[in-house]
Amino acid sequence: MPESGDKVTFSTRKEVDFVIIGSGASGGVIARELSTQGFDVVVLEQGEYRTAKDFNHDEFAVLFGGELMNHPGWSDPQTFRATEKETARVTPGGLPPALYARGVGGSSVHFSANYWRFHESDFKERSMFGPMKGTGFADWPISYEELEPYYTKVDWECGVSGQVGPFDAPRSRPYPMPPLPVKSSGVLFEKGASAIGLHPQPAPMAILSQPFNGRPPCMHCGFCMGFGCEANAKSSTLASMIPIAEASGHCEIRPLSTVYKIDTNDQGRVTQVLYYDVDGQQQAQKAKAVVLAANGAETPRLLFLSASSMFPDGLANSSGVVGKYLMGNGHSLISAAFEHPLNEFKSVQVTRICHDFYENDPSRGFYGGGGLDARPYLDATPIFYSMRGLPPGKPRWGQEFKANLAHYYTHKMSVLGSTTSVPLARNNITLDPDHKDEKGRAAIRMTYLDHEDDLAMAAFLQDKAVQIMEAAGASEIWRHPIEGGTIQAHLLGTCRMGDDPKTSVVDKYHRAHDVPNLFICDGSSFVSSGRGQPTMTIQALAFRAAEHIAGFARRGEI
Amino acid sequence: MTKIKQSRRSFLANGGAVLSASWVALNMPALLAAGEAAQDNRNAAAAYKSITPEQAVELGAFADQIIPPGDTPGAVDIGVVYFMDAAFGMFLAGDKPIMERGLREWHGKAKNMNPNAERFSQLTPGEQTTFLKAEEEGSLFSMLYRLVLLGMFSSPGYGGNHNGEGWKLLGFDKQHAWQPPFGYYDAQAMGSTDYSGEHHA
Repeated sequence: MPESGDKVTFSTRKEVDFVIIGSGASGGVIARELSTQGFDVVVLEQGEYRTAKDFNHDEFAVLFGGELMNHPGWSDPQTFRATEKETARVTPGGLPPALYARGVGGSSVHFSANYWRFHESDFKERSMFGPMKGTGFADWPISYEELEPYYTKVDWECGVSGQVGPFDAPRSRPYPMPPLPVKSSGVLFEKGASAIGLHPQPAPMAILSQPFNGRPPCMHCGFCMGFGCEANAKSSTLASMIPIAEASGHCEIRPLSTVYKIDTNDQGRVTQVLYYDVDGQQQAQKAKAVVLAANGAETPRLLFLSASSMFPDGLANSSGVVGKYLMGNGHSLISAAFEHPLNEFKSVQVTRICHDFYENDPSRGFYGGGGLDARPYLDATPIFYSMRGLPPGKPRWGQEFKANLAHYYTHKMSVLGSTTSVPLARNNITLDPDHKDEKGRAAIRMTYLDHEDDLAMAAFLQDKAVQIMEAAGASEIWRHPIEGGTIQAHLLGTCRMGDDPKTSVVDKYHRAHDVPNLFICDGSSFVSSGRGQPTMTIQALAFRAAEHIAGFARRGEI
Repeated sequence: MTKIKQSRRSFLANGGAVLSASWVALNMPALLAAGEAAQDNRNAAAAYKSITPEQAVELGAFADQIIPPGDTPGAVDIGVVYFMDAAFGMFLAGDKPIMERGLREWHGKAKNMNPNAERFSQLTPGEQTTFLKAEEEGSLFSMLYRLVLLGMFSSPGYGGNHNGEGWKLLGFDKQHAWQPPFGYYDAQAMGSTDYSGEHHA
């Protein structure tokens, strides 16, 4: 990895080649790709610039205090409602509905790092299965084949460990390193799944199993999900992309910079990006072009906040679909206990997965597909476990509670099912009319109610998960209720990609149909939801977008 | 940087499994300072900073009902009351009157249950259990219950979880790095499948 020398800084008055809004899974990749090709880039990131040494295992601060998620400067509430008939409310005392990390590297810093590629079918299910009435079910304007080289870039440039499984789409190159060592949950999952005729496989993870690009392998500390990696073994853009971007001498990462408007001129072109700096002062960075990569909730919010007389319904929103078709991936969970210790608090979340039910199968009677994985889920860390880890019906306090806490912590695992989400216009991100942050920016309002097929698929996977754990010899199995999602960590579909400017926000190169020098690339670009692990595809899109954007810039086509 | 206004009510209002995502972080420097002070106090067996000795007895009796002592240490042994003291001294200072009022109500109810008891802690352990079963849905129970679990299982730096005794109870080993095998079943399976080859295709 290149050493960061003197870091470049740009004057806000200098018109840089690109401003990238967001430094996460997508923004970090695009920053690296554009800056290493010689373009001057300013990355505006609302969170802090933490590095590996700033991360810790403090569950109270990180998971309960939201250390990696809170806005660093002021309160920025969000509201939720299931349908537009309801008045959206700030969830009292709980997690925000749109769950993402703030800080350089974005949510790639605190994610669990499951890196499933999409299948060929994910891009063309509308053609394969026909229309779904009343939904936004559609094909992507690109194919798996077009995206494959960029999936391979993610594998080899960010660092993904894995082993090809029986259902995987074709790949042009092997994984750069073998899968991480299997955990007891993975062994039991593999045993149970194989016993009932399924085909479990090692989990592809954006976590290093071997030294790679100057970074060390995973030390199996167990603090992945929700935490930053102290070893730089997790392939966040903070660890894998940002250092290279900075070393190019063409990229300034500007943290604690909260964008509130993308300014356009009377030709309908973006001219500058307005933001609040570390002191809460208003700043404006001039740019020839802007790449918006702020995540599937913040991206539509910012487009709405950037409305003007020329763009009265929000920037790049002549189609009216900005914010719509939010997809979060459905989930189902079961837990199981075994005779001997598993010690799931050690190492990464997931070491084995099952993709036998990935493809849509009309004979099930509903649309959908999904994957299963074995993991500790929220039980890896002691406080969360103590509050929600025991089977239902067990005492919540007293001697028996104490004895059960001691038993289940080491003897328990869970199986998570992750599913498709049908794209629905009723599920969306809009600006809340009643709630604002302290700077007057309208709050993110999420409206979300799962499609009945999504819940049916989640229930289908839950049944399979129970069968797997039974076949693995679990002494106890319990199901967690399948409920409509009220918190979404996967923020997908809200500025969908398409060929038709009337029904999509960006074209197949991520250029906004309405604004020639505005590109949008993050989870918002998705047309369909995949099967519950979107970051690999977000990053493949980012590598591909960056290549095209650089080409446009070189040819004077921006 | 603009300072954030903090709703301390959210701690009490929250009935779900997840605490407010913001209240701790917003007070984190104060919380850490309080935790360190609590740890010093605990180590020196010093007086409490924000609660009275009488309140400490009541909170301790409650905490030991949740995680009772026995073959292994209980909540009081593990320092949960010091964690509570730190909490009510700093980030929960705004809710301290609610705790005080709640305990006074409990005194009255305890007396109704057993005329010889002036307060909750003076009930027999069996009576305390019966008493708390009737209070499980109440806001004081809910607030103190969360504090007990936080004091048991958060980092010792916050004042509770003395010497990591809470973690030891679970079998959580606070080691910074691990190597396989991690548990019984992967140890049994070791070597049965080789995924370490050069080609991962």
